[in-house]
Amino acid sequence: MNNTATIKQGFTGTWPDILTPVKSDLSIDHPRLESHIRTLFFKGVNGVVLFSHAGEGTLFSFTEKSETITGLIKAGISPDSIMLSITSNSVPDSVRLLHLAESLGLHGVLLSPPFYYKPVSSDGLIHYFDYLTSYIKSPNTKLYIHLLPNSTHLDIPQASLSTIVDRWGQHIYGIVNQSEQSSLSDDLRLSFVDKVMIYSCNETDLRRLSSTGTISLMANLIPRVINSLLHDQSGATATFIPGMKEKATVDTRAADLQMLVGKHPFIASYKYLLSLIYRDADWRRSRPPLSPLDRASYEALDKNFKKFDLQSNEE
Amino acid sequence: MDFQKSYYIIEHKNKYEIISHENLMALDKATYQLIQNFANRNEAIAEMIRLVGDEQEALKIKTLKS
Repeated sequence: MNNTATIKQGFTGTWPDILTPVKSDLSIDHPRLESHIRTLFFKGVNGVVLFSHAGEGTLFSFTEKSETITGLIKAGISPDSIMLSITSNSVPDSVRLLHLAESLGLHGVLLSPPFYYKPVSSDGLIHYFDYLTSYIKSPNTKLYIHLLPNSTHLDIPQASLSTIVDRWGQHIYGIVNQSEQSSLSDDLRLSFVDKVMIYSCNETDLRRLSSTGTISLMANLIPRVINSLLHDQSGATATFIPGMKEKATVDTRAADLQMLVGKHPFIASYKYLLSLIYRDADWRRSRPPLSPLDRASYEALDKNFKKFDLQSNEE
Repeated sequence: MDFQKSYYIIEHKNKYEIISHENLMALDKATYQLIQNFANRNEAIAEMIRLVGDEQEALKIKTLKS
């Protein structure tokens, strides 16, 4: 566990990695996005992460992101409950996004390095963070370093992370592990115990890690289950599923949902499941090169989601 | 976020309903399923029209098949 008494407190609670709805012309569907976010806040999430991995962030332009976030704020979403993901391969675009987050007073930015060119050296990675952070305008800007090696195929060695945290510690409020390696969160906590918060995006690790906050893809669908994983350290919260002899614990429900999506493309799968919850097929669209699932995958997900039997107190 | 003036679509007694925040708070949580929240009544109505239209379309297809 992090030594929370000595390190800066970053975000807390459930922050869904928001899926981005698109219209038939593939532009962002602002009304659907706003309604989704409002619904999640009503269900108890603490903030939202926009244009991250699940939000197809690399596929949208600066202008689209800027217009979307400005619109959400005008619609009443508090800027300090919004985190913006920066995953651009263009350094000037990353700087513009950083300044956008600062000027709008967002909670902070989730920052992953450009990942088109590989391999990159430790020096190169450190230089990128040096370069970007040198453009920070506000002393209050919060950065979270985003590790997602399964998608970027880019590892940030712990020695490099350590250098970055040491140099820019006043702005770095956390390291967010979105890899599939649970052990990485444990290793990072050992290495950074007195320096910076470590967050896991793997919902099935949350109780084991006694996490105080998470960026969660599953929270798009089952925010109340994710809240329980964070707030009920005893794991006693359980749901009655009709036809089951024993109540299902929140850990079991998260693991079952993870298994259900399984090997299907995850963004298309989660969008499909959300389309079932909202009874709205338009949620199934993604921006190319991503595409909706094929018929066989729809049928498999349909069948397994019926078996999963989502309860209204879990949504 | 201020929900006081917002509206919800819920599924209640096997039909969709548009309901204000105040009225939703007075409902027993076990008796309905929340579908979505909307900033105002007009947005909720637009979504309700879509939902009902989709149901009618699905029913039409089902009837033609049988």
